[in-house]
Amino acid sequence: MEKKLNAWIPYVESFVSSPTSLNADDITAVSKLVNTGFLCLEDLVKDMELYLTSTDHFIRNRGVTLLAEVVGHLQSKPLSSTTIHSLINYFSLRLADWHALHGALIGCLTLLRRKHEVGRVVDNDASALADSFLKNIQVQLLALQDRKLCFEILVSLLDDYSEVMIVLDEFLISGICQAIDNEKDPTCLMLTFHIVQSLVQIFPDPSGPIASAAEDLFEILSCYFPIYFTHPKSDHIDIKRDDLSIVLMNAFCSTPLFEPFAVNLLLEKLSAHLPSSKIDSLRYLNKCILNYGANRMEKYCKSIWYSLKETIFNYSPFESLSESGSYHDSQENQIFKEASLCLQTALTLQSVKGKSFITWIIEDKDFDICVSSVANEICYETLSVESRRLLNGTRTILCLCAKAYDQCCDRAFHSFFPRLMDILGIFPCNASLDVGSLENISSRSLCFGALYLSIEMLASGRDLVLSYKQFPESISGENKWFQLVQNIYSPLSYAIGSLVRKHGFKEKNNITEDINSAVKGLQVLATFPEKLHVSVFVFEYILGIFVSIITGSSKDSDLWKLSLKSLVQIGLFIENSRCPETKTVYVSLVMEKIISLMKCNDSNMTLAMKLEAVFSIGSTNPVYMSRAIRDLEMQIFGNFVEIFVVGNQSFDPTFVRLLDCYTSQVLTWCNIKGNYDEVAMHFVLYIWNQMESVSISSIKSQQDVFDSLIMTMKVVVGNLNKENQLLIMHKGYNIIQSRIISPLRKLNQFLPDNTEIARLDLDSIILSPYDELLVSLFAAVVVALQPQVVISDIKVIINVFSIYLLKGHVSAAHALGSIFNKWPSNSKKADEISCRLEEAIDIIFTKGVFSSDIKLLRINDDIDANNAVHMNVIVGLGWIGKGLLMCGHQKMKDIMMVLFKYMLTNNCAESRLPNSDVMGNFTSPVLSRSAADAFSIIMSDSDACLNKKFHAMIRPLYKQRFFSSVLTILLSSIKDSNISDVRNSLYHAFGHVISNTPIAALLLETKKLILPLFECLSSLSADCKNNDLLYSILLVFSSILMENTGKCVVIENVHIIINPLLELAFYPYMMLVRETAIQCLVAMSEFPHARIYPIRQQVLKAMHKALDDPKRPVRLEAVRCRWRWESIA
Amino acid sequence: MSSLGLINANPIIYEKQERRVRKPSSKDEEYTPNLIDQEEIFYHIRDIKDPEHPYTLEELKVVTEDDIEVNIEKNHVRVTFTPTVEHCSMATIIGLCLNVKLSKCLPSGFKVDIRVAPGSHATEAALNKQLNDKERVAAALENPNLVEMVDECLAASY
Repeated sequence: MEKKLNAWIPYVESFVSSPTSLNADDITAVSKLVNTGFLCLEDLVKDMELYLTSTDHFIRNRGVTLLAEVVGHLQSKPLSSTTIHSLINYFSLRLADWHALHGALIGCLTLLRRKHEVGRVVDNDASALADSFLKNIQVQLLALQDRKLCFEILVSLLDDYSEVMIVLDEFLISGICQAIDNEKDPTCLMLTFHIVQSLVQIFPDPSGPIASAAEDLFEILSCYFPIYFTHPKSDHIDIKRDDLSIVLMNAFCSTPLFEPFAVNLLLEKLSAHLPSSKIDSLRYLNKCILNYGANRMEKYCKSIWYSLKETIFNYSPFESLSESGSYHDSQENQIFKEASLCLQTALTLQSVKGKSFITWIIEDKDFDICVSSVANEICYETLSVESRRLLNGTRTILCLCAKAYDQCCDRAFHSFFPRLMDILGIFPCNASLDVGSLENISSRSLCFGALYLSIEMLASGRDLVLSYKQFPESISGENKWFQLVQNIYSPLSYAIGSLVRKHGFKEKNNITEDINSAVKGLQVLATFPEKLHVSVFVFEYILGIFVSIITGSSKDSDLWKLSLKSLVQIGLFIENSRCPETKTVYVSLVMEKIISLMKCNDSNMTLAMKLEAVFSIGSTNPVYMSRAIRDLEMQIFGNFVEIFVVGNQSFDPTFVRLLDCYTSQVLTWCNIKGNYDEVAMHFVLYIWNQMESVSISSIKSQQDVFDSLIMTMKVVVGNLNKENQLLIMHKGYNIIQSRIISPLRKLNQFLPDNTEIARLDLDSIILSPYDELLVSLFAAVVVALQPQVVISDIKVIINVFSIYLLKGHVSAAHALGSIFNKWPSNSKKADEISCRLEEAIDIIFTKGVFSSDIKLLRINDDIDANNAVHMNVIVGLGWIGKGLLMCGHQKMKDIMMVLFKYMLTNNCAESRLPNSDVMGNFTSPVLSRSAADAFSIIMSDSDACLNKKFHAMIRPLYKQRFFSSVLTILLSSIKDSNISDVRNSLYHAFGHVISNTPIAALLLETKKLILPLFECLSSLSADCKNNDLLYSILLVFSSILMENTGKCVVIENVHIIINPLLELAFYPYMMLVRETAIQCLVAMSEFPHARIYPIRQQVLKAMHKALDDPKRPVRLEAVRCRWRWESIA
Repeated sequence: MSSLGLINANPIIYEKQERRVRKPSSKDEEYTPNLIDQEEIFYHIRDIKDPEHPYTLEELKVVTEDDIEVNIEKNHVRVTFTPTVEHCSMATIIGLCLNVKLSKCLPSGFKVDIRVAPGSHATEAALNKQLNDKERVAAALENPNLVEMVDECLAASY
């Protein structure tokens, strides 16, 4: 026991005697003893007395530090109030002992940070601590670490003991001022700014002690504004300039008492040239306006307005007028953005007695002149950069005024709007005048500046009105801005309308800014709240213009798009409004007309335009969307009959486009609206019904029509729910049963259970175009099914697909892969289909076409035909193998072995049966190569099937698993084979495998891989057909080079791989290969000197030669590479 | 280099020309050669550092793309550079840098001709002669101090 009790002494001794600042192990060991109760804290203090009271400063300091650190480790251990009291008193007193100050500061801080539940420092002790702190410590004389501790103590005191701190009053304030003055370290500054903020908040009284100290405090703060932060990144300070700036901003705005000093400083800095200073000033000003209040800010309104005006005019973007939100994030735009935000805040200033902010704007004569001059600009395109800035700036200011609040908007409209209308030549008139005469009145050209500004103002005013949840009565009252709008509503609409209409008939194809504004103007006018008694005639007129542009012969595609977008916006607005009258107008004028476009053939719109128009407008109203979908379906079905039944090829492009629109627009929309299954079932059932009833004699159409239909079928079925998928599958199966299986049975060609398909006479099975289409469609359904959907009569289906596969239909291979991938794993489901997976595999494996004994595969004596059938078998094996691999089935190994046999049999064939025998001939290099390519099918991702979209079962890391299982066999086969064709095929397979395996898995095997990888590259580089594979393997090598583990292996083998790599730097068929090879060489120049020095000359010679490469990127890389290798001498 | 101060203490800095982005090559372009042109030569020399300032020759407008002439048939490149001040004694170093860099970047057989822009330097003729005299260039490159200086200027351009 005695031993245990004293067990801590060595730690203490080691800590106290060690000269380093921290000795974490000792502290942890001692605090562990205290924490677990082996050692009592009081005993520790008593026994450490010698150290704590030693006259040797060093020992005393270490002793106090140790005690403080140990207390710091007890943050979650409850301590009695007496213990805490004596500890805090002890540490507080120690603050006077500057030799032991570090430990005392740590002790004070850790005690202050204790939670209430485990016993915390009481108010009196905190007060005593603060007192001792302020009396004894001269913060700015201390080292960085201690200063930081001091500030942290102050933060804790101010935040957690504010009640006690108030009593200290001026003593505290002057102490803090002294402590924080002249601080320069960023981490400490973060704390000091926070201290100021907390300090002023505990003395909120405007006539209290802070009032007299505000100037001093602000003077300390103002030195730092704007933050000038130059710490290089290597300093490891995780504080950014923005963090500091935000904390300082909070301190600036913490009390209105800073107002007399802050605002002037900010305005002064705003006029500085430094962009970052401008941005900061605007941000601070914005927050200060909010925090200081309208009454205090009133006297600055004028100067704020002038500064902001100048900033906005100087920094407005000038590139483009449309979409004000999408500017680049350059400093200039940031200044503009901040200035606008600041003006937005300033506009809300309404002091009780003085002028409101808007008054200053209205009374500013310069601004007034500016508005007039900008409004008189005739054409945007010819404006200079300055004028464009001026225009944009004026627009920003006017819009902010119109958007601020009701009275502000009212005053802005009254001051500026009538003038704009004057310039446009639009005068209030009665809406009952007929359209023709009004259009005639306003048929002259409109002044761009005034048009643009008035439309932007109207848009802002409208946004303000729409932002009210409840429509205020006051707006429609007398003398309000709305009165103005009402008066010019009709003439303005007609004037803009005639401008747009005229442009619509023009031949030229570029849209000018005035047309852009005009279209926006019409949209704004049409979306004014209906409570403001907007005339229905004008509304009809506006819609009429847009519809005529869309359906008419407008040659301007931009105008067409703009009009459609506006109509959609108006439609969405109408949909949300409660006014039945406008709704009826919209439906009859727009909806009906546009939706009927689909049916009419004589329109001069292209199909793409029609579809875009119909579905854009349809998206505003579900009822009309359903109509549009029905119409589209009718078109698709009509085309289907024309193409597949009548055989009319001219419908091909239309059909592909319609299907594309169906999958992209309709299905997405239905998915969102929730009626997907209903719509999709209608589509699929129609196709099945057609297939059931029609007979197709020949299909002349292109492959893309076929592919498009199959893909659509997959997508449509893939998203259906299980029950509907089952229905579709059954329906399809029935058709297959009656149209394909029965005839085959009759022909006696098809006996599902016990015949080897390999013995079938494939030539006698003739597939009609109808059969091909039907089986492809059914294959598409099977690919898209969810795993839970059980396929009926699966053995027969597998046989059907097998026959089609042998006939060269890849879609059948996809379906087979999918079937095996989704084979039900639990026994209950397996019972339902009365066939186990192994059994099914047997059907195709031992008895069927994919027999593992290749000799069985001889089908007829024609070698080419034989090879073709074998190649189909290999493709099938690839897809089935992929399916099995993805779901993690063991049988995958068998398939892999068959593929290996295909690749290797050449070997035996040539050695045993040279050239003559039929048996030898079918295992030609062609087959061997396609077996190698099957590895690409197995490893790469496919869009056609076996992916997430089509519900494939995907076991995690399946690629890695395949890689590790196949690698050993591949490598040993490569080693054993001595025939070049076989080796080539094996290298192909190897290439496909490694280029598709995740790099993390490759890195584990780099040692084994690296040499074969280069042999593979050398072997592939002989033929220009292997470009892509070669490139992807080279990329694998370059990623190995990037990783540390890989790099080590490369370093060991550098003398071997250098030759093949240098050869690739001159690979004639692909530039990317040469470039990447040289990039790898550049990376290798970083290897250890001793390893690469021997090959230096060789590389330099090669790079010198590479300078003559026909391609520039290669030459540039060669220059870089040469320099790198030269500089390793 | 008799005085310790900078020869041009306060040079004018110009904006860098925008780097042209490479278009992805299509299959047809695979076998079309890219001939060496002004742009490529400029690419090699634009980032060479000025011997006495932390700026590139491009930023100081010592070299521009227009001052480069390339004659592919004759395998000849001529670069005309403009020193920032007339009496610039650094002009030799700049010329040497250009010479060294280009001889390392161009295939063998290319002749590189470095010149000072007419009227831009006090001792123009002497300088031109010196820069294109093979033996004098070779001799200069045997001086370790000069080599160190040239290497420092070139390091940033790779």
